[in-house]
Amino acid sequence: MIHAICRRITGNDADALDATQEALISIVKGLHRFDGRARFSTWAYRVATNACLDELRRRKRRPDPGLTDAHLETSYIAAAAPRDPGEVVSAQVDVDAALGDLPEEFRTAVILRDLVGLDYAEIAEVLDIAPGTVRSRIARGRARLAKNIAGNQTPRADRQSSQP
Amino acid sequence: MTDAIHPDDELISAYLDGEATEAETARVRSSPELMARADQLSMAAALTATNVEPLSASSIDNLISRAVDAGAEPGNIVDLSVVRRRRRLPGAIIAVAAGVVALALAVPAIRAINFDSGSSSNSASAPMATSVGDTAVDQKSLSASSATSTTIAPPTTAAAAAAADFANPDEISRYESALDSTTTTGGVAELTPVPARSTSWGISQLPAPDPTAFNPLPDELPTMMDIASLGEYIMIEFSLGGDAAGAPSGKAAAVDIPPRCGLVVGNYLDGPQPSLNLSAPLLATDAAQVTVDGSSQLVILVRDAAHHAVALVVDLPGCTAVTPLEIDP
Repeated sequence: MIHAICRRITGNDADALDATQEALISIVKGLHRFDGRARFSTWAYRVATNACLDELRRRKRRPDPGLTDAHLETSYIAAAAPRDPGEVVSAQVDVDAALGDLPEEFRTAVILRDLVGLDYAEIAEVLDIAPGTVRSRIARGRARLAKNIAGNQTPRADRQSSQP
Repeated sequence: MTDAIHPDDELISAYLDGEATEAETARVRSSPELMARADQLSMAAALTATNVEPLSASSIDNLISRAVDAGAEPGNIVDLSVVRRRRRLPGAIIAVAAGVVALALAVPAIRAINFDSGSSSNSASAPMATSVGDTAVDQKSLSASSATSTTIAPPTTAAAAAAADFANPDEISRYESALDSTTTTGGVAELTPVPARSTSWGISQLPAPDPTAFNPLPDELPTMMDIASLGEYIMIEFSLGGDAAGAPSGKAAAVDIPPRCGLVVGNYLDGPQPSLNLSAPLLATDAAQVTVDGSSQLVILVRDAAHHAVALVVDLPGCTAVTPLEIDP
């Protein structure tokens, strides 16, 4: 799950791997700081989330190589046989691009809720914010995603042909 | 970029997550407009929930091994339950612990080891030797032919260290150094050598106990058989008794040993029954008893899967028995 969180927050495989590695190292090194007041998983998610946000900040300081052809090919989910609504949508929407369009604070909140399945109280603990803020961020994040879905539900071939 | 947020998005989103109140839920369900918006947000949630392609097993192994290599210096590993437990310690217990340390500081040296056959003072006839530290659990050092002189560091070092703050790696190191410097030879009980993943913790070739000395092993430790089946937690109760004046009445330490390295958080005395709580996947455990100015000191040696040795030093004047008390998985 740590890698999944990192993958969705960072939006690409390379950064996700780096962030996952940093998260695991932080967890090992910081075990003695875990005081048991929260569940271990909650603490680990918090460490992972922070590692991802650190990775994003490092990435911002690096030159952006731009999207590669390979990324453009793989960023669309093939979904030959979608099985659930998420896959139906993801067959038509670039998940990484959609999530990447969200501000970090919205993105982490919706990922912790919809990917990890934490409740609002747990997310509040992970992100060290008030539960009411969690509720607001999730709603705003989903609203933006819904807008993206509505604006991008065009056939994949059409979208690809529109790429420069 | 505008958020394009519906005025009731927070309400609807909370409804989707089961975080809305009953009144809020009723409101959403009664409104076709809100339900339509709920469908839109639900699609957004489903998008985020799209599975991430899992890493390969080899990638996971690499990530974990690099993390362990980078962060798992021995001193870094501290038992978490100890931290939690220490946080809950009432001030009185800590005060008693300080008293124990002070008492230990007054003891000049360990003078004798009373654990050989039929005699509480004849260390020359003791069948084996051990030390407290990494080499202590080496069964060779426990061979019956290795009886030699006794060299025991003052218990003050170990006792003081045992009460140290083991959340601090420096303190852990200091404690382990103290243990390494504490060696005993002669008059030390030999437990049955236990192979990897101990299935027994018993005593072999043990001479008859000296009824006048603290000697928990013959009668009690055999009841602690099948350590592996105990899981990671063993609680041992040390019964106080005997004629030792000023025998502490109280609970001895809650001691935990984390899986990957041994470390012992110091004992304290409080309450009617001293007890120790060990948690570790134990591979081998040996125990020795020494007497310091009439006060018994139990030394339990534990070796875990990584072959780290730990020593648990307990000052228990008048202690008469060691019995397993409770298993806490």
